[in-house]
Amino acid sequence: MNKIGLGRRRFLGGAASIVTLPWLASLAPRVASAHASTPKRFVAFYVPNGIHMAAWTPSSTGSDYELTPILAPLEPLKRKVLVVTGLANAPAHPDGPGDHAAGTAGFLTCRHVVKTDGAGIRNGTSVDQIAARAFGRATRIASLQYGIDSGSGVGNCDSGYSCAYVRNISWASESQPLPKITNPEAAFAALFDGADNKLSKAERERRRRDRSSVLDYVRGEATSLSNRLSVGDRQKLDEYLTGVRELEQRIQGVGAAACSAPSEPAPSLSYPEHVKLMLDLTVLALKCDATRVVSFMLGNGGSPRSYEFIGVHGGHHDISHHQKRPDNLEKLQKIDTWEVTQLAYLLRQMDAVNEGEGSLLDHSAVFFSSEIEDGDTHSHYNLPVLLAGSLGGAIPTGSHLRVSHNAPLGGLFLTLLSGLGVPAQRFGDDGTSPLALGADQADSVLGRPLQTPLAI
Amino acid sequence: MRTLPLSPKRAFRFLLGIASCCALSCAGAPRLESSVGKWVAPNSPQDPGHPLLHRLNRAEYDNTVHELLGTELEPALLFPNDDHAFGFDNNAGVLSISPLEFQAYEHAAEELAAEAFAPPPPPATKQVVEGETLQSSFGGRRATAFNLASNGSVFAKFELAAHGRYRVTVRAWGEQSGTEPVRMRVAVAGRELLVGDVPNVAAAPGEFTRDATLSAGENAIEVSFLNDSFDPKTRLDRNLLIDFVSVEGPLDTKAEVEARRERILICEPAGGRDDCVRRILEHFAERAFRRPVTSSEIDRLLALVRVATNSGESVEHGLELAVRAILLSPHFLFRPELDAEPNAPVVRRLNDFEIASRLSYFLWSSMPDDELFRAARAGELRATSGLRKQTERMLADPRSLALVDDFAGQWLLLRALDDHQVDGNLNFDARTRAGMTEETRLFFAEFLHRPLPVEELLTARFTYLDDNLAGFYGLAARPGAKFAKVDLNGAERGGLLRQASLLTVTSLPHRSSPVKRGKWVLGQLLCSEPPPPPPGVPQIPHQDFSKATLREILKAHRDKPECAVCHNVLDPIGLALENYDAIGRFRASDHGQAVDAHGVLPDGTVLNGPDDLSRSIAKDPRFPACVAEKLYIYALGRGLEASDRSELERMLKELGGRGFSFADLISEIVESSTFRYRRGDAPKLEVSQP
Repeated sequence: MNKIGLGRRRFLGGAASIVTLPWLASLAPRVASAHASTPKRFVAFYVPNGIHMAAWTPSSTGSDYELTPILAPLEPLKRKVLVVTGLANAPAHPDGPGDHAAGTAGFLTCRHVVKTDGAGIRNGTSVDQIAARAFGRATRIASLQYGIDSGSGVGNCDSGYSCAYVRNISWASESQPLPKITNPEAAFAALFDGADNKLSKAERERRRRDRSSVLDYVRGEATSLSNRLSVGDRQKLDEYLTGVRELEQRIQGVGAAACSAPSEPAPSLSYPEHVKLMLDLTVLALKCDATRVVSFMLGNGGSPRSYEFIGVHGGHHDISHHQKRPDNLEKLQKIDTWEVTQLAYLLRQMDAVNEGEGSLLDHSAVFFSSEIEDGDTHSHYNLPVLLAGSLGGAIPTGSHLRVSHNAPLGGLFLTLLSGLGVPAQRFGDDGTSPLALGADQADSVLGRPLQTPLAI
Repeated sequence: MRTLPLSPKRAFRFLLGIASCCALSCAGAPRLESSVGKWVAPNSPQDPGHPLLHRLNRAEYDNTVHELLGTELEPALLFPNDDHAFGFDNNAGVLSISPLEFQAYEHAAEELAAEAFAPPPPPATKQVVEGETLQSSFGGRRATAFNLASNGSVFAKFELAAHGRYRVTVRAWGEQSGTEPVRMRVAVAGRELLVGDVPNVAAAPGEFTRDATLSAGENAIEVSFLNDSFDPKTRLDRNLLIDFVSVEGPLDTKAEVEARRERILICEPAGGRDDCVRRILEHFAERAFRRPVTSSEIDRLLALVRVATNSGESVEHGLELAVRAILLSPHFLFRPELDAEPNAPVVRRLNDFEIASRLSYFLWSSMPDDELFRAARAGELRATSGLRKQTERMLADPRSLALVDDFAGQWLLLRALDDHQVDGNLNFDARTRAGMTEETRLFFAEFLHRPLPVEELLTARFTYLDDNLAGFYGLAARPGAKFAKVDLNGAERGGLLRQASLLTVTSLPHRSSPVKRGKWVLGQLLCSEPPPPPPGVPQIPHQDFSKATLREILKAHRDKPECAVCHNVLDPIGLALENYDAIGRFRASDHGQAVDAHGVLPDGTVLNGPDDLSRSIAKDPRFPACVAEKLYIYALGRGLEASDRSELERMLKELGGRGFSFADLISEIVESSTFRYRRGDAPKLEVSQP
């Protein structure tokens, strides 16, 4: 019996979690430096089941607030983080039960989704996709959706809401969720397109030509098929043709990668290793300017994951219905702190990428939150919201901001879209005006025409 | 030849049916025959429904390329997950294509075509690099081995003539010291092949082997030592010693590679003669698109081949591109059923090939095989008798196990076991987990292949076990190292409700959950899932439950009227299964107290333990109706509309309401009008967006 195969998972999950992943470590940091103006990026970081708010919310506001236990892992980055208290995503309130589904689906859309188990799903276009569309052809990949849990292979999700709502935060349109990639190997392939760099120049050219011919052919087939379909079915071919167009763009080398591909990752990893790897790939994708928009789901809505590796027994969702029991709250604090530690890891990696004036983080906006406020009340008010990175100065980081009671989250997304250079008038169901960030500068942020690029 | 998979009851009714023409078999199909070509009001009794364009899901994609190309690759492993609706991942409504997914399809098509056109492999060879010839700054030669004395790697280089699967072997042992055995990692080009313990010593080295796909040219196998330790006091040192590294292959035989090529290259295209190239394209495209192709379709594919040959490529390379293009075509990735009037609700009968695909994707999650194509071409699927003959043949074929994995796996939530988390304190190992799934798979398969009434899923006195799972269940039976049928008379087991797989997926990581089990029974078995707690339900007042049993805690919330509405039904069902813990082990007591597995349903029915529960569900008319509903949703790949529900009621009536087998139910579904007819889309009134 070969002991090696069986011992592997345990091995990676245990003492060896410090083993470096050579394929990533070997990357030479090649910085995208040729940009006339440093691009802005957007990252959404989703965590499931709400947050233990008493151990999250700082007691005072302003720049000299004290980090709470759950926020403590952000200490070295405190200057680059803005904690926002008091935001609400009221549209995410479901029809009857289904807070995890409606909250997750509305996480980046601020829409009230149609309750259905499958027929006629309807949400809205998510903020990351609005940005991705506006950035358009600047990068090889318009946007990436990464995550950890694929979903357990079964389809009972949340109280009559389709699993599509529970497992996707990025939505290309009202009816098209963008499934995330959870397999590291697939995430790698999506990013590096078949490790093209192993080929000689002539081989690469031949491959490009072959791929273009194949895409020309299927574009023709899809277009003529589309003409023979019902209006409803045509939408699927539209999705297909979008895929053809984006791939053509990649093959033609638009926004060519500033990084070459490392070798492929190992296929099976423990949960913490998996998270680290997907975050590493996120940073890599941004650093290489392969894309400027990434969404990341640490789990799916209502995740039942067990966190034994940090000493927490029981399922996360079950514990999150804490009933104010001290033992449950203590467990939640541990889980939430671990989640913020992962965020801090991502932010540190982004901050370590030097982009001339400022770091990659400084030119980005990272939005961190959950589908609900608290697992016990399932509230969509007073959400745990944290921004990191300043979008080149557009976000006044380094403080704890308490916004007016139940200010709509959609307003924050309008502010972020402005900062990303994609100004919009409305967002979601209730975002009607940009949210002023920073008590002192509220007027200036609101009054400033944010669509003009801000100097760092 | 196997017997008809009909229950005795239905077989008898079939015999009666002969006298009164096709009273049963025609009841579904011709009902809509008179509506063909006419407009129907959506959701009227004459409405067969408008199925949306169906994309192959991951299972369907892999099965289809296996049938089409004879490959063993599983490209769908790298596709994003398919969304679910109405409990299944074959729901056309949510099977969309994102740009990342399209890219994965393109990548898969490239790999599949490259494999299909791979040249015959060179004969297999075994190359050995002896330890004493290796060099690394992390160690040095020791007699006939290489001693990796500190954490680091050594590389063994191999020059390979061809791309292919190879067997990589490292013969090694450790100089053991400290509390843990030597740990080793083997990788090639950064791709990890294996990581783990090397408990062996010099007297008995171990051979560590893994098959891997290696490319032609130089391949460096990297062997790393991961846990060096040295105790300065005792001077005990831990080292990894490598005797040799070998690479054997290619493992693909010449016959395998040639067989794959010949599936596509049915004549010799080398001369570039159009008639041969056309034949190849037509033969492959017909199978891939699962229907006859038009000559203009062949023209377009031929043009693609010519683009390649005109730029100096070989005909064979042009054909490889055409195969890639076919595998990426919407006619392959989707299963289009084209209407003459796509935007009008006009009823039509599906054509022979559309019916063949519906049948094969329902029963096999795959494309039609040659025999089904033949039957379609011969027009045999138009008659109910021909349809039934193929259905029976296909159910008897091992490919029908797709119904176990894709239908039952999702219906019973069995698939959730793969990544269900179990608390570490319960010592739940991978072998037991896999065994649990296997038990339920084999058990369910028996119901597909034998005329057993569906109710026996709950009351059967048999199951399939291996020694490991029998031991886990605490049974005396020792069926052997392989799974075999076991008689359960006298055991605390029997029926789905007492299979560890399902008891585990309805538990929390660390304890059983009567509420989840109750919800599973009501939702999956009876299609009567109660709504989850309404928002704003106040929590149970905080009280000291530290000494309370789960039963007492549950009782506390049933005392609250707003909870009791549902929990009065959920809890007694779940509590009747309390004799089984979070991983489905039998227990007479829990936390020192005897398990009380009795509960009273609101109607006064007393459930005294799992036997009572199983019997009362088996008697409940909602159970067979629910099985039929779930399978019908799965067969159609969409949620049920009002008109489908009346069709479902009609089918249940035909089946006698209960006592039918899966084969009976499958025949009824396949012969139903919904399965054999369709209509175009009905114009919708534009709803203005807020």
